[in-house]
Amino acid sequence: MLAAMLLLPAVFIRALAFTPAEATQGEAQKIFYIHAPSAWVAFLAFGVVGICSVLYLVLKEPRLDRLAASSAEVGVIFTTAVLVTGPIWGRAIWGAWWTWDARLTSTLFLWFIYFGYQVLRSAVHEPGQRARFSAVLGILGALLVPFIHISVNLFRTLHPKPVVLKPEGPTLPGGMLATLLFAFVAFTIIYAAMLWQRYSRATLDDARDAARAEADDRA
Amino acid sequence: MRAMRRVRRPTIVPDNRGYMIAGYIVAAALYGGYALWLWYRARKS
Repeated sequence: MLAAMLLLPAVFIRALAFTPAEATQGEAQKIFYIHAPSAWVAFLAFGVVGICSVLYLVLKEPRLDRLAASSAEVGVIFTTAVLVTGPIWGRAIWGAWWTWDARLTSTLFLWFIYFGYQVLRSAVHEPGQRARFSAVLGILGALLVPFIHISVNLFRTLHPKPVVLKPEGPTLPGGMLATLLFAFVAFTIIYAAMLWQRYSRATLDDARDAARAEADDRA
Repeated sequence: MRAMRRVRRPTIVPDNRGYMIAGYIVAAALYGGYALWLWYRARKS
């Protein structure tokens, strides 16, 4: 976990000190190197939630529920970063902190869904019921992810279109693209480390809860 | 007749370093804070 977290300052140093500023946007454009990788990881995290939730409903395996719950929590953190860094960049370039366009609004809804997912899990105490309810919500939330990705093509939005993940290939200059790809890899590793740490804790928590329930039954 | 000359205007790069710094501070606080919280919970349990 510590080793993975060291990648965060590495990304910052590379982006701030070794990557040129964009000619028209100025240095605020460098928020891109944390904003876009955070969005990628958020989508990845909620994709993992969706897949684990579907598998849980089929297999009823508690480890899948734990993995989905852990990934959802980490995903909320990354989505929060997207929703905070985006408006800071937007204020510098658009002159507005927020606009209710399709990309921004649907990302906010995604955050609400998975924040609600956390609330739901803390409100339902019976493990089987909690896992089933949250799996359904997790799948519904994950269905929003591809829609958010294509929303800039479906609607007229202020948010720019993708510069890397598009059919004709990336259109960034080499230095900027290298920094962005490095950030994508680093953030993915950070996500994996956070997910593992959170999953390990969930496993311990579940074992403790099961032991308590058994002790209560005996008493 | 005066020759037509193309004048290359300098690009005006906006001074918005403060926004960049704010974005990076917020991201560092969020990710660093969450990582610390995970580490604290792991130690506690």
